[in-house]
Amino acid sequence: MTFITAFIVGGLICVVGQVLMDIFKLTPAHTMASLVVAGAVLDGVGLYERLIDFAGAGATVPITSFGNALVHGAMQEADENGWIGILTGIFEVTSAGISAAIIFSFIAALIFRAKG
Amino acid sequence: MGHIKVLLAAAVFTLMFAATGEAAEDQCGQGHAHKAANAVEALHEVTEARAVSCENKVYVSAEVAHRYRLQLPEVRKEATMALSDAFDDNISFHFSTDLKVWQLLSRLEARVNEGDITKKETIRELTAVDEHMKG
Amino acid sequence: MANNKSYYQQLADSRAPKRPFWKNCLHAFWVGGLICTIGQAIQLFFITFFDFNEQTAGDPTLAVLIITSVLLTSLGVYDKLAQFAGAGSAVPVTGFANSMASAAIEHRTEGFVLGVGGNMFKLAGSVIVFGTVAAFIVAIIRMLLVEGGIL
Repeated sequence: MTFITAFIVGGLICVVGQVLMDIFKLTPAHTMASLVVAGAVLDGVGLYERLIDFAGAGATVPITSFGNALVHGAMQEADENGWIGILTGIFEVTSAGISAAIIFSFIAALIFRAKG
Repeated sequence: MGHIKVLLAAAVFTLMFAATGEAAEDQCGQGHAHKAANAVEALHEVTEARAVSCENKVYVSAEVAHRYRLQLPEVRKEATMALSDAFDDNISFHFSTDLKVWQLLSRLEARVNEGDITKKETIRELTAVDEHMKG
Repeated sequence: MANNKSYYQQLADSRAPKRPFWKNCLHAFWVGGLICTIGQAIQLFFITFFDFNEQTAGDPTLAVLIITSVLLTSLGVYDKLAQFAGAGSAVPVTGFANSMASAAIEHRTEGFVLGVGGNMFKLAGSVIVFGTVAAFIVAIIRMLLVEGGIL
């Protein structure tokens, strides 16, 4: 069942991105930034975690979950350490993903040549 | 010779008694587990529950109908309420809807019901389940 | 930039005239949905066969998706997929990794510090900057509401 909801919810988030690009004529960079901000706001009002409960990877794989994870890390640290936790915790959850992307991209640049 | 025979008999008897006594206590009673599973399964959002208990600890997991997963935080709260109503304060229950906990408890519950697991092993398995319930 | 187009610009170019809007959406939907479904399968694999639960399985799942995306980018496959799927391949985290990997590979000729290091975040940077600022504001508001006893 989660596979079906992951497919539908994940697909719909991508369609929202496509609509932002085609109808609102946003550049891809603007589209991605908007989706991340949307994810952060949705987590702020407590909706994104419910979407993850419902759709699993359909909510965690799109870039919107990056905003959600940033807020989550900040709030978790803030609960433990007070206001300063917002600064120290903001990359707590997302650091694995960002590190992985940096490291593997760098390795790829070492090994592969640009195509065309 | 007579003394030794009596002593031997006594020793054998004691050993047998000890052995049967140990066998009776070698498994965890699942009374609390059945009670917990029934309490959680009574909720209409829950399709199935798994529970394993040992002494005064009960570990419970539930599968929530998918259409209710958007209200998962409320379902968790309801299940916790149902469990605290079902048990006295001296029994500590642990509830989770996490898939890993569900898988572990399903396997453990089946093994306990078949009776092919010792008390010691059950406690060790439950400690592993507990690790996944934090946070 | 003329002979040195970034992935997103290629994407933007491929968008411009050709396909009708509904077809773009359909392709974005099923490709994006499929990537998420694959993510779900990887997550299930990590939960079932390794010592991960729903919370902790997220990191290895993302790592696998990112490695796969970087590899497909290196082989030139992901950019072809992007032309076909539009937002369907750009919105998932694989698109984020793709933008970084393709920038790193393309700018390698300019050296590792100025080329690879300087350009890797050219497109991913806006995501990180706006995500961080938004998260900061949201977290501040939540804290204020919590401290004020409203939440």
